[in-house]
Amino acid sequence: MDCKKRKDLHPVTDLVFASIQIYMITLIEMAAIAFNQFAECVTCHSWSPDHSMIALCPNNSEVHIYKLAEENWERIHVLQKHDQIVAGIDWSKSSNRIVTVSHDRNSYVWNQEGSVWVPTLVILRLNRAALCVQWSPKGNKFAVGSGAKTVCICYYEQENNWWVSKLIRKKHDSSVTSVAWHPNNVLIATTSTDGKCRVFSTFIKGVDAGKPRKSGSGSTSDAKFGEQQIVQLDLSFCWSFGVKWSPTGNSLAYVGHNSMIYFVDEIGPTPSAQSVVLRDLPLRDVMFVSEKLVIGVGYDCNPMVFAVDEIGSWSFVRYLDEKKAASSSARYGSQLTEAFGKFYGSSKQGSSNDKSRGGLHCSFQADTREYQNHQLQHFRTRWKSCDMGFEKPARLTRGWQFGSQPVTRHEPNLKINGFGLRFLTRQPANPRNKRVDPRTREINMGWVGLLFPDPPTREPATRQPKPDPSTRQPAK
Amino acid sequence: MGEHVEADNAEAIITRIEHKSRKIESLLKQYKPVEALKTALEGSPPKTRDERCKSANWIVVHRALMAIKDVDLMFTSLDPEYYDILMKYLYRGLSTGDRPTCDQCLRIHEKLTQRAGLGCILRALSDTVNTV
Repeated sequence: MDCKKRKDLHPVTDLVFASIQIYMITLIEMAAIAFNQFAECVTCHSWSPDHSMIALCPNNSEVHIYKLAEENWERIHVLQKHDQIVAGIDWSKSSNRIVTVSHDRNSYVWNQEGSVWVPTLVILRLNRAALCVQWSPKGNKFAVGSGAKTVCICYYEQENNWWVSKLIRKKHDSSVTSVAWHPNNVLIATTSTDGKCRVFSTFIKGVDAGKPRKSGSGSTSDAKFGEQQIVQLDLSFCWSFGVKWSPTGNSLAYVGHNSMIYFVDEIGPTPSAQSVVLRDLPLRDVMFVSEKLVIGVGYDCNPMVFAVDEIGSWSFVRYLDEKKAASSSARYGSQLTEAFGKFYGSSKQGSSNDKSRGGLHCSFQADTREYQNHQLQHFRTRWKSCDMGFEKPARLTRGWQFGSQPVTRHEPNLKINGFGLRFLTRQPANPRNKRVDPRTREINMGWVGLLFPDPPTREPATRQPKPDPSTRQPAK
Repeated sequence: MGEHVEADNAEAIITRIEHKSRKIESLLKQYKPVEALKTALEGSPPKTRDERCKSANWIVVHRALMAIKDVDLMFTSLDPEYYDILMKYLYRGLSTGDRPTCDQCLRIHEKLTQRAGLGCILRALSDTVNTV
């Protein structure tokens, strides 16, 4: 029984939800929700150590800090230094420092001096966007996952008075989507869009005193920096996200984009893994509430609770928002568009009031399409910035067609999109392109409508300007 | 060497599929379409990269799929462990573009989605390694 008093959990994915919901959970049975609209779209957020403040990025290059003052959230600081969307924020639990990373490939460590936050540039030495960041438990290092298939471990060098970034190279085959520190301050776990979850040692001489110790089995006395400690976990066949360690560091959990969640125990040479199949849309991030309880959040707009039983097998318990229990068929109409309604030959489509579904977790109130556009917008921005390190399609027929390889060689327009669904652009950008089998197009058109109601107007080609070397000088 | 082993393996799989095919025919003659479908889905070769094996198994699954008359009845006796693999074959059916096949696949797809949820579709579509 989990009777811990928990305050202010933050179960919102850092992806697309336009608002932050705050859960006050005393027992997991009772979830009280506070609903605050901070911004049109929140890309990432982090709590202050005492949970009285929250730092979030409103889908631009700024970071806003809000403070709870008498029931109202008040914006008290705006941190401006990045040039592009901030992709990750972490507020150190042990020291009052904030680290931010952005698609502009830089990172800043913010120290509060008096009433202002003073930034310090950290040169990550990346050639693609930084995607996620986390402070180590002791707060003396932080890890940055990037689209350059690398992980940066940054630490402060006293003699030179700046932050040094040390890279773990050539271990990932694709973008690193999340990083998580083991409680021992040395091991990190990463998930990547190559579908794998890996655990590395980040032992840095002079920063980590003594020999690293790892709870559980296996000796790590010979752990070198960047060395892969444990067999990589090859459970998912598509993108994986949101890795987290349990509070003791004995197990970890991560999610796959194929609507699965993976739990790994006995992390060592012979890890034991379990996968739990989800009924609905994939998760995006997870959080351990205790050793035995995990909350996952994702595209279903409703946090899911997972628990482990006495014999150690994980299972889905319930949705955190009860409203979800409504009939599943009603959902098709609400979440998906007319085309899907047609696909199912029914008249469920296009309901304008979606409050029945998912409660407050839906960022959309009036129009489902708007919500999808939010997601599209997000994906599009990422693709546009060309910094994600996703494999580029051979031919970019539309600006936002991001994702993996064509499904078959002769159908260049058939791609796996952000949801892992097949879709086809309405028309090839070049009308002379006759290579798409018309029959295939007809069939797949149903899926075009599913998540991509309208092909967006073609984006003007935006090339990233070469980074100006002067902007990358370390700040004083 | 590696290719040789793969080829041998493919031959073995094809032989097994042929055997399966005969079993399915006899099950269909006894009016047990669901049993036939289960047999067809069992031991399908997603791991191999050999297209011949995949096509051979698809033909067998197709035969069993088209024999399903009552979809609701089918699901009363089809265990959930078959859902994911069935979904993959439904999408393979839809990709053929053949009218009767697509009609049948769509009918089953509707019921399967009601039972197995959107997660099942995602698993079928996002898995680019274990294709059928």
